[in-house]
Amino acid sequence: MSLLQEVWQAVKAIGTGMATVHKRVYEEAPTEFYPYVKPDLPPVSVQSLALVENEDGSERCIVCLQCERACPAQVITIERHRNPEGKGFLIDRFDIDLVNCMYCAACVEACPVSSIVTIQDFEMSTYDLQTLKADVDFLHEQARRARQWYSPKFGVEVRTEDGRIEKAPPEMQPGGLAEILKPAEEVDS
Amino acid sequence: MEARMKQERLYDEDVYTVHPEDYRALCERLAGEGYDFPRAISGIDMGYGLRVTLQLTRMKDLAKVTVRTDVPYDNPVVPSVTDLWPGVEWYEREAYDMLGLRFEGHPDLRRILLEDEWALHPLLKRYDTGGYPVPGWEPKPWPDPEPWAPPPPPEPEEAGEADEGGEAS
Amino acid sequence: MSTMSLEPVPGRSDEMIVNMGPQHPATHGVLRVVLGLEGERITRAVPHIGYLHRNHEKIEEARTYPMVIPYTDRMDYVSGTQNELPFVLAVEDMLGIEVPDRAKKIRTMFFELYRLASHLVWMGTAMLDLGAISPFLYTFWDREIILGIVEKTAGARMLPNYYTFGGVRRDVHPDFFKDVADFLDHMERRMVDYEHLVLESPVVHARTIGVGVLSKERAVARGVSGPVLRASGVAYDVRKAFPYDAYPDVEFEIPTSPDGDTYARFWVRFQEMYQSIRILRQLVELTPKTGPYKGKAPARIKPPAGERYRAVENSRGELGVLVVSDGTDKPYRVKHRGAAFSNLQIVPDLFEGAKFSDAIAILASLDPVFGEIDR
Repeated sequence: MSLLQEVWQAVKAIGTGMATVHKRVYEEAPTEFYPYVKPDLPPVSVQSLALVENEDGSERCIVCLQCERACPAQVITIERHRNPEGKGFLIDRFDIDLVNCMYCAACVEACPVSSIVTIQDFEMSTYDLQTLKADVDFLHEQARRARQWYSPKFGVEVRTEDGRIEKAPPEMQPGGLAEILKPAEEVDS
Repeated sequence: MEARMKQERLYDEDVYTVHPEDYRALCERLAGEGYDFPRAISGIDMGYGLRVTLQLTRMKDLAKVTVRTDVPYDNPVVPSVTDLWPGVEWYEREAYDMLGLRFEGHPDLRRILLEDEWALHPLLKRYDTGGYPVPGWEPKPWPDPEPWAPPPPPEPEEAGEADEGGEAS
Repeated sequence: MSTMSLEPVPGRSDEMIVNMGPQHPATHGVLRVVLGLEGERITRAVPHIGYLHRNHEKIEEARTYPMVIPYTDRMDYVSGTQNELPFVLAVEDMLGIEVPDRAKKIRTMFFELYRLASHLVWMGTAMLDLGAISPFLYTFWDREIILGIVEKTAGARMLPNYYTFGGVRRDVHPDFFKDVADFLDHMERRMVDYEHLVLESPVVHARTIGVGVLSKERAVARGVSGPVLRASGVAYDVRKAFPYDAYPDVEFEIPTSPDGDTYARFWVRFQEMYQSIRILRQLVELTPKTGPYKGKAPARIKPPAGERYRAVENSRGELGVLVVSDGTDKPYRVKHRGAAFSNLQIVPDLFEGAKFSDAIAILASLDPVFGEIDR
């Protein structure tokens, strides 16, 4: 290859590169200005776990231990006792080690009453890892702070202004929820 | 050699189970038959001994073959096949690392994933996930018949089936 | 992992022993290579792996079958759901679970989306090793779109835990097919730019053509698979050789190159990205918009005693798994055949005789991912 050809090659390569970079300048940047602008996460996004209470403040969890059995990382520890008045069980202890949790959402999948749910709150950075060893109060608090949460059985649920829990409108729901949304449509018609 | 080898068909693979002394000879035969692509060597703790599973593919017609051999815990020595398929070099090192299988003739048999000074072979069933001995673990007796024993000759009932077929036709 | 270094050869005082890694940025993770250098030329190379070792295989023996799936995710962390598939296929075979046609197609769509994502990461980091920074920014920009599509459906970006026995965990997001079609339009425009920046760049030509030549016979005997094998002229692709999921329903080609050098490996990955776009285009049309996404699977997964090896063609090659069952609800043994693990074995072959700066280019063309190599 002659010197002239080499120079031409180099000029062409630089020109192509510059042209490509120049094209990008006018495209919308994908950068997120995170601490100032919060990211818009899809409602199914698994960022943290929470334990939802009913509207009247009673426990939704029936302490069936399904989530403890389904957990691959084995970070859920539950202790329970029989309800002295009435049926079922009451929680003695419900701990999730959110440090070792790998956020696979297997517990959410296993829950028969959609008590344990995934939420979008990811801002859990801390100087002390002990604060992420979540107990039942921590998990309730996570749910109280959350505006919406997701579980495969009930879909996306939202907390309204006056504290009621409702199913989210269909446009917020992910796929595969036709059977869940059907009753609402029937009521409308 | 015929007596110490079992051949069966499992899904889409030919599976040979051989005596460890015949392992090398079978591998040489398979290399001669054109099995050129080594997929993996897996070590398995069978409870009575250690199993080596070598999996090969022939690129020409995509035939797959598995070779198995079992060795006792107290003398887990298997001949290496790195000279036939250089691609198993790291898999043999991994099997040595995880289960303590010693491959005779391997050019560089060191631990591969764990440190050189590591004390135990973690995939043995006698250790739990924490590396502590499992309480009450005892090796099982060597299987009888041995894994490479060929299946017994066909029973008379199969002959009966053949007779029925003959009647039908 | 080993603390071993190289012993100096008596009578060769001009050889210098250099440790590359484990924290060298060009090793794509935690690879340590001990190099013997004679000036700029490499005389000996000994790779050491294991710095990211977690012993998945032991953990998986202590977990039930559904629990193993999230662990397999964490092997090859840039290609997400691709790792789950061999294990899921093997257990489905042992149990005889039927997978609905639509679920197979959704699985294949995610598989190919992650192949694009993985090759984009490869392109960015490979060019970073060769000294170009802007392709890295652009490829991660495009990968972000893929991860966004996956997150909308699966709930996570890199470790989605999305496949399950008999299909997928939940139906795709209603916008999924439109998102994918839009992304493919975008990607086709971007591929033109990438060709300009990577394949047609004289700098890339100078650094890669004729460098690190791997012969066909050596590649096969070393157990190399995937784009590295196909760049040496062997048309072996598990998608065609042992088809799984929806691959028999779609048309695509296996790009091969006879050269076997670093440039051929770059070129083959590029052609694979075009084939992935082609497969996704067909699947967007073929997949029914509604329908079953999961077949009937037993509540307790308990395969009968036996063993099964299944492999898939992941972004790096033949990713296989040998599942041994003893009839209980926990696998007796799970052995992963890592594609990058096998491919990394040729490092000594390719490094010896190469120049030190070429070693970086060769390693970039092998595309190792240490989550899978060290397991």
